[in-house]
Amino acid sequence: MKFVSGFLGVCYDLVVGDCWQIAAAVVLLVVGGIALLRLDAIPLWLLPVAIAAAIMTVAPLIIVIETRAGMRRMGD
Amino acid sequence: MLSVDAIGLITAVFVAAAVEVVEAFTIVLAMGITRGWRSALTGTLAAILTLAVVAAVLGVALRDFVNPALLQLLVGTLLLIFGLQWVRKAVLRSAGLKALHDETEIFAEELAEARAAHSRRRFGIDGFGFIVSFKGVLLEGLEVVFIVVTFGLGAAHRGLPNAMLIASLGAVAAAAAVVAAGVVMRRPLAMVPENTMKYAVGLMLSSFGVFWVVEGMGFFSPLGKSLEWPGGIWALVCIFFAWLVVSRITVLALRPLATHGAPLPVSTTETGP
Repeated sequence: MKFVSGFLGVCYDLVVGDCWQIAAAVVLLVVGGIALLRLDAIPLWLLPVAIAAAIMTVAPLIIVIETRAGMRRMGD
Repeated sequence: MLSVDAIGLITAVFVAAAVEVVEAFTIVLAMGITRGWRSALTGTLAAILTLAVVAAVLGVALRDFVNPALLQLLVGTLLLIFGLQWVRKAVLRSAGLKALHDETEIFAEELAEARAAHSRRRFGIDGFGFIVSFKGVLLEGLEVVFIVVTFGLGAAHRGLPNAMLIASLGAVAAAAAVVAAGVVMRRPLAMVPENTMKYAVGLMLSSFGVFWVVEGMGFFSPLGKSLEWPGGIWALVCIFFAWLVVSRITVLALRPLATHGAPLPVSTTETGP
C-alpha cells in the first residue's frame, strides 16, 4: 500500500508538479473542446485553432494569477 | 537515410533527455566521489533496469491496447500538462522569480550532504550512496521515459516506422554524450545552458501536447478518427512560436513582481524541471 501511494505520489509530482491549477484547466478545456465537437457547435476547421487559442490564453493567466497569489501568501 | 520526421523525433528526445541526464549525472558524480563508485554505479544500474521495464510495459501496453486517436488525446493531455510545468518554471526563472538551476551549487550541496551522512554497508555497498544514486537516476529517468514513450507513440501514430526505437536511440545518445562529456571533465556539467534548454524543451513539449490533444479529440467525432490541423504537421511550428510569444509576454507581466520579493532558492530535492 505504501509502495502504491508512493508511486502515485511520484507520478503526480512528475506530471502535475506544484501547480495543479494548470492541470485542472487543461482537463477542463479538453472536456470543453470535446463538448463543442460533439454538439457540432463550431466548424471543424476552426476547432483546432480555437482550442489552441483557449489553452494559450488560460495557461499563462493561471501562471500570472497563481504567482501573484503565491507572493501575497509569502508576504502575509 | 533518416526522414525529416525521424530527425525531428530524435532531436526532440535528445535535447529533452540531455537536460535530465545532466541532473542525474551530478547526483551520481557526487555519490561516486564521496561514497564510492561501486555504490553509486550499482544504484545507477538498478535504476536503469527499473526504467527499462517501466518503458517496455508502458510503451507496449499503450501501443497495443488503446485506440490510436484516444491514445493521442491521453498522451497529448499528459504531455501538455507536463510541458506547461516546464514552461511555468522557465517563465518564473526568466522573470527573476525563481533561482536559476545551478549544477555547481547543487553538486556542492550533494557533496556536503553525502559527507555528513552515516555509513551503513551491506555486501560491500554503501547504503546512502546506492539509495541516493538510485533515486536520482530513477526520478530524472522517469521524465525521460515519459518523453520517449509519448514522443515515440505520437510519431508512430503519424506513420513513422520504428518510432519507439528511434525515440529510445535519441535518449540513449543523450545519455552517452552527457556521460562521455562528464567523464572527460570529471566535474558537473555546469556549462550546459540548462535553463535555456529547459525553456526550449518546455515549449516543445507544450507544442506537441496541444497538437496531439486536438488531433486526439477526433476520437469523439462521428468518424472516431483523429482530427486534422490546418497545414498538417507545419501547424506544429506555428504552435511552437505562438507558445514562445505567449511565454515572453507572461515573463514581461511577471517581471515587475521580481522587484518586490527575493527569488526562491535552488532546490536539490525537486523532481520536476
